[in-house]
Parts: sequence; structure tokens; C-alpha cells
Amino acid sequence: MDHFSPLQRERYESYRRSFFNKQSVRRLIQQSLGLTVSPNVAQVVAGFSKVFVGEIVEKARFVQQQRREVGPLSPDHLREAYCLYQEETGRVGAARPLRGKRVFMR
Amino acid sequence: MFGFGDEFNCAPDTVGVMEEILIEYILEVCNSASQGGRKTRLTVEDLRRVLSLPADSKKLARMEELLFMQEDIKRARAEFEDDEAMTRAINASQQ
Repeated sequence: MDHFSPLQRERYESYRRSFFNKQSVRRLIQQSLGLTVSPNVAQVVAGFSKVFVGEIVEKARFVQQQRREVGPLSPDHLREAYCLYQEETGRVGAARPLRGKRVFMR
Repeated sequence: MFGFGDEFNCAPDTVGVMEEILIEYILEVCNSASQGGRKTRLTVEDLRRVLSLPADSKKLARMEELLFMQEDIKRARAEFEDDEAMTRAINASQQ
């Protein structure tokens, strides 16, 4: 770590210090899905969501390099990265009609 | 995003898209964990189940790390409170 350039050090600090507010995550889940979530579970979700952001940004960088583009990442880089992510994890990304489903089940 | 590899001055619309993707991801994972709304309370076990694919191993590992830290903090706090109580008792008995 002593061999970091100033940019690397700043980036590393930013990586270490950035986080998602657990109350916001908790509110998001509770209000959008109607699920009860304890603060600890919300903190855990916040934690692995940060890992997810990292995975997307890394893929976006890869997409950018493949296209031989430079500069800040663009929304298109992210979208393609997300597509690649979903292909690799085998998940279909489109939001399901949650509200509709729950109305039926009630 | 800068921490993970983007430029220091990220494009604001890119940040907006990242947030949208993130929200969709969180809601999809939690909805899946609650088995499509069958459960009303999300537990750690539910999350463990949905993150069990090898592609999610990093996220699962991070989750276990955070759970361990939560336990650690809980234990440390309990010990600290015990120490406080003991110190108070000793001080009281010395008076």
C-alpha cells in the first residue's frame, strides 16, 4: 500500500469508505416489497449490494476497453455490463409484476 | 463507483443508471429471498439461499463477513458492559 500512487490511494480510500445507508436500504425493501427487514439484515443487504456495484463497474470497464473508448463510464457501458452480468448468472432481469402477483395470492 | 474503477468525476447520468440497476437488483434479490412474497419477513437464511450460486460467491462471502462482524461487535459490547459493571461494583465496595 506504500507503493500506491496518489490516485490509487484515493481510489482505495473511496472503496473502503463508501457504503449504502442501512436505513435507506431498509426503507426501500419495506416500502417497495412490503417485507419486514431487521436493521442487521438491511446492513447485510447494503454490504453485498456494494459488492454488486463493484462487479458491474468492473464489467463496464471491460466493455469500455473492448470498444476502445476512454473517459468516464457511460450509461451504455453500465447497461451492457448489466446484460453480461445477467447472462453469466442466468437470471432474467426484467421486473416481475410484484403488485399483480400479490393481489392474486390474496 | 470511483472506488471500483470509474473516473473521479463520474458522468452524472451514469450514476443515475447505476442507481436504477442497483435498486432493481436489491428488490429482485429480496423478492426472490421472500419466495415471491410468500414470506413477510426477510431473514439471513433466505439471503443465504438466494446467494448460493457460484456466480454470487463474492457477495455471499461478504455477507458472512458482515454477520461475523455483527456478532463480534455484540460480544465486545457485552464484555464492555460487564467490565463497566465490575468497575462500578469495585468502586462502590471501596467507599
